[in-house]
Amino acid sequence: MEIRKSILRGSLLGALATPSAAFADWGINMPVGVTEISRSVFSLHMTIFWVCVAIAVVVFGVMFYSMFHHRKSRGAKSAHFHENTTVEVIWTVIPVAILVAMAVPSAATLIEMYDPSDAEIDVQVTGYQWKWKYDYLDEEISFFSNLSTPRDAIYNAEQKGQNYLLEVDNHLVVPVDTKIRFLLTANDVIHSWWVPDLAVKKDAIPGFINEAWTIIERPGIYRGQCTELCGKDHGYMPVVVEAVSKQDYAAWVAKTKAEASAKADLANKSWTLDELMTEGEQVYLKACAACHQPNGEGLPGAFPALKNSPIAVGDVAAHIDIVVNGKPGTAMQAYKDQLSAVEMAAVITYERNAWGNNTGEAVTPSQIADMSWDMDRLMAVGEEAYLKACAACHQPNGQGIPGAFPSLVGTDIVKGDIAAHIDIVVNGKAGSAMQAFKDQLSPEEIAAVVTYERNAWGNNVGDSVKPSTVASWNGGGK
Amino acid sequence: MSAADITAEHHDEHHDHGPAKGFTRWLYTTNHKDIGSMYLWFSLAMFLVGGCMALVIRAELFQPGLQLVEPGFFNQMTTMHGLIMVFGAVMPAFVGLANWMVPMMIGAPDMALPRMNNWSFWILPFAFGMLLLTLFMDGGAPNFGWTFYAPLSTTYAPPSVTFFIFAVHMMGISSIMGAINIVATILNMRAPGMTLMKMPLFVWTWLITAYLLIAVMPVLAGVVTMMLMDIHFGTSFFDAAGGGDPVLFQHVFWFFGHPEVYIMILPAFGIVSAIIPTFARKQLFGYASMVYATASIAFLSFIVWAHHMFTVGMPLAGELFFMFATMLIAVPTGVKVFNWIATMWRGSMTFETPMLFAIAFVILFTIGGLSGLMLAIAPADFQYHDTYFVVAHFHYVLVPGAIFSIMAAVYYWLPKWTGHQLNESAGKFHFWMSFIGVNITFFPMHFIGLAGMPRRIPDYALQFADFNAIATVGAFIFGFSQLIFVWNVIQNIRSGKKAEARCWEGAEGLEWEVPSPAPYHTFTTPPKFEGAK
Repeated sequence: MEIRKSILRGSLLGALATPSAAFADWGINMPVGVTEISRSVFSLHMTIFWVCVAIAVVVFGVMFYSMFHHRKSRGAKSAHFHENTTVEVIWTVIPVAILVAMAVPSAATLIEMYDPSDAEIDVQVTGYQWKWKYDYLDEEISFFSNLSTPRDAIYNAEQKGQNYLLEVDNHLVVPVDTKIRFLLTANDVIHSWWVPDLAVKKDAIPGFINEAWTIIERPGIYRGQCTELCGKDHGYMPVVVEAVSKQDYAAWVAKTKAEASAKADLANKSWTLDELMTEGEQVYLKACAACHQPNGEGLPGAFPALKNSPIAVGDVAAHIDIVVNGKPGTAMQAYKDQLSAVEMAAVITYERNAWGNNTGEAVTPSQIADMSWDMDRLMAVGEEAYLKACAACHQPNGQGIPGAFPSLVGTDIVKGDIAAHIDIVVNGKAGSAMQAFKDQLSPEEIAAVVTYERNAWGNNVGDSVKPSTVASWNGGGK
Repeated sequence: MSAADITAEHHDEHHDHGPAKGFTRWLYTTNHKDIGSMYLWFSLAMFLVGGCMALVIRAELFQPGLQLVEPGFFNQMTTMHGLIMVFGAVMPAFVGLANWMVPMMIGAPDMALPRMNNWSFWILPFAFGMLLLTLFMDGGAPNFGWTFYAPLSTTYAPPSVTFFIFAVHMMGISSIMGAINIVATILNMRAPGMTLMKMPLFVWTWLITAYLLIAVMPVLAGVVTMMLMDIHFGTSFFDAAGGGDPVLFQHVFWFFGHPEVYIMILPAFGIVSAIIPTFARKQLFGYASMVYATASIAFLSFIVWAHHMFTVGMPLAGELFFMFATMLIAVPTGVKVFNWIATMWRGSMTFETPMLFAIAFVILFTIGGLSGLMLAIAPADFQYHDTYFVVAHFHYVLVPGAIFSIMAAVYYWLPKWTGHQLNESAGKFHFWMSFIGVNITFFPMHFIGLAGMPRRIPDYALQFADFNAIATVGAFIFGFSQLIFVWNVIQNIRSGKKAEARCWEGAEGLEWEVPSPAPYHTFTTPPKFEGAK
């Protein structure tokens, strides 16, 4: 009792004497935070806290007085009263009054928190096992934010840093003095996104989009964590928000976009097995090792092993498919939204060659890119490209203009050898109006348009062309 | 002055009514005292098993970093600890106390449905045996928290979830049958003269608890059945990809879960309302208002469930409704606390072990209640939700709340059960070690929660280290001091000074009219209950 009371008293004195920012270091109270809402919440918290302390002092005071004075060893004789309606009414009415007094400011703050209107920036926050993804809806910026604390620090093999477990590779960068709306959802299980300094905590639920908002007043780095149990590594998915000035934010947006396009260019570079292995190991540790374990042996019964597994040493297409599209109904996620083509190629290559798997096979980024080009997508993009680049001559219905532009319905070029078809679109036909489209359309568009022509208007050849085939046409083709 | 007119010669008139010999006594028994004892032993065993799991959790949390267990196993420990403590320790302990005491308190010879009583108990060891065996299955035991939110507990669950669901169904059947039995006993078998408003408060609180159980255990059965369908039969109740709704799970679960919270505390109110008047040597203050407060709490428990879900993104109107309704609960709960203090006021108090536990209950439960009031404030709850502040709150109401009340009850009625006076020094040693341990364990959790430590994490940031270390020390003190309790109970069964029928000076009620130990059959003819309440 005494111990508890002295701890309590210590905390009360602390709360009284020091500005909260200072005693936040002691970690005994809620942070005041850096937003108007967080200050309202803090003040509600402190008010209700003091109300509770006052009630406790009165109630326990009476109780301890009674325990001391009304004890048999002091000769106390028991009284005989056992009812008093007046007293009962009084101690029913007083709590009701206190509660009403508390309910009013609480409701006011709550109503304010529920008003995300007039937001200037929308950020979609998506919870994944076990990382966060941030999409800046107005900027086309999108990235994942992973724990960056080294595994060795967690397993006590190296010194723990100051921000142990509260550090990530990519911060959520936002400007100060700007109303930011968060749209929260999840990809797998329920997560909850919490930053104490912003007083924002909202569940991220698959199939739902929740709203929250904040206006940060001070630049700084604000750290939080996932607060809904979301599986094995629930404790390892921190949230880090970096609030910067508006100018710095604009600069950050520009830089991040430039980096994103530079990264996209990497996909076109030719990768050696060694390069893929090096890159793949890093990706593996970041994205796969939590479940499949760093040694590839998985956790029996929960997460399958990759070492010598049919997936990792078997058919490469199946392996690519499971990484790209995931396995519905299991914890295996679709990585197509999480990793770039380069990263997926690298990690698949790594899995097929690490831990004695040694298939010797390298998977290229373009093979991964092909995965996303299924028939439906090729046909849809192909139709669009066709109408843009081909229909002027060959006509929207593919029938051409007799005598001027040949028909594409049921003719040799579209129903015959696919290589000749690709070649004529890529390189054109010298001496005719048929241009070389390699400089006008992207490899994806060419692949799509060829596929479209071979399957539209009742051609129904059934085959398709992948972008990587087109991309390498000039070098490797005829 | 309550009194009962007992005809002395009615006990053991028929020589064949003594307990059978050997193991079959326990297997086939329909005697409320035997079954009560089995419930209590079972609960004690589960309390120790669940406690060991808590110590694994606390040991891992002693320092930052992973030392003892992996995160996957840590989650299994938090899940199993919660399930076992709620369904295996607290609930069966209260049912055991009801079995022992309700018939004796109302002057009934036994429970109304003795064979069903036997079945209610014997389901439990199998249900928990199966639940514990999941620890050895491929993929491990349930690891999704005792609240088992979908889809973590469906699509993403280990295969053992099916066994968990079956175990929950069995526990539910056991609880429902136990509750029906208690209702039937109380409503039909009271001694002549014992009107409803003259029943001891423990009987009242159990009557209301039994109705809560009958109302909500089927809801729990429903929600786990929906999970089972999602996992094995292709439905999508909780799967957004199939048009289902993960939040629906939480609504259904907490519609069960919040009344469940009161199922675990109302009988405790009854126990404390029996013990405090005894040791204050003064009648309970405000009997009628205690009954009405209990009923109000039970009613309110059905309309506050979503305060467990303030962060799921409910509409504002829902948020406000559940905030106001939740705050209201403070009123009847406050009435109870005030009544207990008014009972103590100008009494003639002594502080034997049961009284110490009862007073600690009032103080520490009130602290838990006050933090509950803080949690009711929805905007502040956004900061408290799913942090150690919540862990501190519900452990304050469950450990020094429910568990202390059970210990108080055992110490209070143990002389009646065994016929031996209590070893007060061992009891007081147990009390003070538990009291100190429980506060060292759970008080610092308020601080780390406010400072931002989420619950259910195996590892934490460095600023939480000191208080976690303190909490772990407290947990081991609390855990190991329960061995004193076990030793004390066993010693009391084996030996001790002969206890009188009314072994506590101020004790009132029919149970004190029968000899100690209570004969195998009591009140084979109903006593005449004359006591004005």
